[in-house]
Amino acid sequence: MFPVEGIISYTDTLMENIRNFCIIAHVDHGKSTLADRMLQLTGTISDRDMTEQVLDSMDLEREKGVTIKASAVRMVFTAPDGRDYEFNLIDTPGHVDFSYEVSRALYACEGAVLVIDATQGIEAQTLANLYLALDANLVIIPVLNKVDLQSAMVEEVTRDLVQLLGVDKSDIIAISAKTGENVDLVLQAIAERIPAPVADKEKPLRALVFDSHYDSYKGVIAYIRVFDGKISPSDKLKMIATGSRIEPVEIGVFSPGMKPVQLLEAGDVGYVATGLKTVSDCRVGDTITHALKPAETPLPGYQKAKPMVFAGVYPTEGEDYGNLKDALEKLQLNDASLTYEPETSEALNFGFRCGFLGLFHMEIIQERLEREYNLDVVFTAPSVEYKVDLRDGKTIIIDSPADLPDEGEIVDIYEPWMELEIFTPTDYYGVVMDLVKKRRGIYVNQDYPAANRVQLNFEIPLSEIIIDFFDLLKSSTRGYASMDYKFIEYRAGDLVKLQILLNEEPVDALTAIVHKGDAFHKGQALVSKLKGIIPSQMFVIPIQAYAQGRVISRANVKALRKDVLAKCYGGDITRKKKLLEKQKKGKKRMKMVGNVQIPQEAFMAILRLED
Amino acid sequence: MSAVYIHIPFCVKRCYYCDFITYAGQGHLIADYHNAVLKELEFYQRFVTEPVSSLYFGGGTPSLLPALAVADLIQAVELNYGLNPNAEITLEANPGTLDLQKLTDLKTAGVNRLSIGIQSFDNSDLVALGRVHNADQALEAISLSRQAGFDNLSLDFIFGIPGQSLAGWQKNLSMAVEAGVEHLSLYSLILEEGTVYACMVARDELTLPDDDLVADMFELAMDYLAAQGFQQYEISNWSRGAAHQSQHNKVYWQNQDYLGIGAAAHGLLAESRYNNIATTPEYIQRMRQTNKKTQLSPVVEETIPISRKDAMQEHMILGLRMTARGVSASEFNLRYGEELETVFAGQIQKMLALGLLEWMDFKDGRHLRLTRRGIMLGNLVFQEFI
Ligand SMILES: Nc1nc2c(ncn2[C@@H]2O[C@H](COP(=O)(O)OP(=O)(O)O)[C@@H](O)[C@H]2O)c(=O)[nH]1
Ligand code: SF4
Repeated sequence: MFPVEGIISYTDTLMENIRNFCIIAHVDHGKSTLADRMLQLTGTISDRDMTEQVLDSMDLEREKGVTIKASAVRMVFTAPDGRDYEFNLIDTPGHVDFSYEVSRALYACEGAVLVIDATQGIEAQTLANLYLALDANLVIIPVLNKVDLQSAMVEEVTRDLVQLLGVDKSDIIAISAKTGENVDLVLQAIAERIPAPVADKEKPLRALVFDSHYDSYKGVIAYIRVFDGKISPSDKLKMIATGSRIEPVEIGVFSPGMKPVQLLEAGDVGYVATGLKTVSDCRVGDTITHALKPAETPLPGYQKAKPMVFAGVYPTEGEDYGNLKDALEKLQLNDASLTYEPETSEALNFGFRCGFLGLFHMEIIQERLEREYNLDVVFTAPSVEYKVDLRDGKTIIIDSPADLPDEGEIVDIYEPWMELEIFTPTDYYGVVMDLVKKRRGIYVNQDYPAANRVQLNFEIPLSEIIIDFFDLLKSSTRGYASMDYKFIEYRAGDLVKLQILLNEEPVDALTAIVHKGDAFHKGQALVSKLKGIIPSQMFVIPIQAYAQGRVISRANVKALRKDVLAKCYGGDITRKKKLLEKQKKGKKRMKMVGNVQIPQEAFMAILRLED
Repeated sequence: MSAVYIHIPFCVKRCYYCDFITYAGQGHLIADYHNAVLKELEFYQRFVTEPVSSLYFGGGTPSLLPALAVADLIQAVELNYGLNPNAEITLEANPGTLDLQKLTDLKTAGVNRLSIGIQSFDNSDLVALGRVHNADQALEAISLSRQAGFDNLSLDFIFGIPGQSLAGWQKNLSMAVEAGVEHLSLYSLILEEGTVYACMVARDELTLPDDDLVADMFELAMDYLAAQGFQQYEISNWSRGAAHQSQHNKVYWQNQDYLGIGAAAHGLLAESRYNNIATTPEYIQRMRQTNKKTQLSPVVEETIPISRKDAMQEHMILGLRMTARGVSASEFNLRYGEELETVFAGQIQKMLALGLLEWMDFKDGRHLRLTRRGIMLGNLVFQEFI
């Protein structure tokens, strides 16, 4: 998996010399760069092979289309006093949608290196991850990165950190991960400040799964931290929450490639090649124990994956349906939080309804489908899951607006509400307040964890932040604000179905559920947006927005009057033919609803109503 | 083969909308270019079996050539291939490059049809287009041509020029009719990549007239010129009487072979389309180095074989451009050995149903042609056939 195998030979490490830790940082603050320097300084990877950022590279290696990621690495650090330490660096996912996964990775550690970009200061994710780390009782080593840059605000950010963490100024290490300056001090601090794991080798086995990936030869590889007991390769194992049985293909450590060992014991970080077929059989947060002599209680904190955001995913070209299915299947092998099931739309034909943890998760999947699987796909506007009480006493759950029954049958619609934290320079206080209020957000309270920075806490319907919100937040605060959110509860809302009719026919994939007060404005915005997107065709095309039994907005796409190549002589024929072919192809990519051709982007129109 | 096209890639200055293969500021190459063209004409000698019945100097601005050079090239065509005494010999000319002496000399050299790039009689249009001439020069070019004895004149116009109004366009049309010319080519302005216009539009410095206005202008031209006794025999071409249709251009639209000579020229020969290299110096260089015996032309850059299927498709998209006669079913059958109605059954039916195509009875049987709406929406029809 990695370019180098076994540079270092392992001697038995004293338990008291093991250090399990992670690096937490806001995106782009330098986590990967620092990890790379550590790998180099400890000789885990030779300088020659240090070509790419090791921890960050999703495309590290591809094996039968399955991406392998590295999220744990073992290093040997020789301290100035000559003692050898075994460092296990555990990676944490970078996005707020994965806070559960982050919390499990943190739980596998005793300490965390908190990296803050000295040119940027504290950000929302810094805080969110810090709180998770404090919840997990980790020792925090604060590190100021990028001090080589002119724009580094070392004093200011140091002051903020002192205030935030209640640490002494001298506890903060100022480094440049890029040049390597003071990275040795970080290694020493890990050895000195982070405690060795407290572990009991004699108790029944309990090992926490903090990550996993799928390997086509060895099945699911579970990344584990052993808390109690020990594992040998011949042990019969089981997962406590899912009940899956495991006969390990092998067990091992990351050094940094997968290296089989004969024994993993309490305190260790390593892997079990489980032979299981999908990562959902081996969920992050689950506990591995012995099948014959099981532990009585699992390690705390396990949760099932719960998608919160749903969207239709359709191939642009109908013939790609099979490829899309394969791609989703493969992605799911490595991503237990992605769900999908077949869906049929009149407008978009055959595709899938996919469930995601949140909007960032959705973006990642979209990007991977396009980049790694080379698929041209249409994502319909994302939706949340609604609970609907019906007159007949039943409650249904829908995640696609088109499935909402007629108004007459509905008593109440409930939608998920979130706790939303926005962290921003105080200059943008008003801007952020306005933005959140426009989205039905409710102000809860505020906090000033650092100078000139305010943390604003709100409650807000999830449906209001999955569309466009983060981009708007970023653009209206010049990129300075950051956010974090988590689910609170379902609440009843004054919600209505907004339908779009083209040529008098409702288009299922353009249906939305919106707040009653927004229906008019959104209907209008959507109609005018569509008017701009749908090209003129042979006939006039009426576009109507329809809600609560009436048309709330309408516009016409004018009929196409003239579309003809003016010139076509001897020299042009081949070129003109190509032009016509291109035009024809463009049309073929459009979706037909009735006799109206709709460009793919129309289905995304609802995402960009604000501009 | 009876049609020869010679490309003259020189202009005084590039117009803002122009993406033709032509170069400004290369006047010093004209003499060498002339010699290279002579050599290329010679090269094709063994391929040409009938005397040439149409010769076309296109550009660029062929009227930048000295009249003597034109005479020389016409002579070379005659010498190498033979020239039909009734041959149509057209030269594209731009106002500002013409005087009576030159026109007289061109006439004497054998040119019998001029296609003049007027574009507009309105100075603000001409400035907007980046043309080198003004309205007076445009009118002068026409009267000088008549004085020199040309009795087959065609004028080029552009509509949909930024800033042009429907009334302004009507005025151009009226003046063109008054000028009493035999033929008109009217082109709607197209924004082409890589032109000054494309650049200006990208920088929001230019707005093109809206589609509705351009459609109105096109319809105005169709109605007005019909009333004035012009026949629209092709989408962008009108003539007074069939005798004044462009014989040369009809060769293209009827999908017949033609020889293309010069830098960037295209030809259709032996079931292949070919095109020559586009840069003038390289064209000259390669022609200079060539020895006569090569089998392939040294300046051909690309040859695309045309399968029977390609040929049938091209036959339709070219033939349907001829708005009056359309595509003759019997001609199609004779040429490809298959029935037009069978080969394109689905396409024809669909287009008939949409009212974009119609069948008309002619002496040799049915012809398929564009309806008036079909002319306006020609691309929708052409796309069906490819
Ligand atoms: N000048 C400077 N740039 C750095 C330093 N550390 C990281 N970077 C740059 O900051 C960017 C983000 O770093 P990366 O390690 O990918 O951040 P991550 O998203 O936290 O993993 C990259 O372009 C790095 O090269 C540093 O100490 N000094
Ligand atoms: S004169 Fe004709 S060929 Fe020359 S630049 Fe202008 S439009 Fe182009």
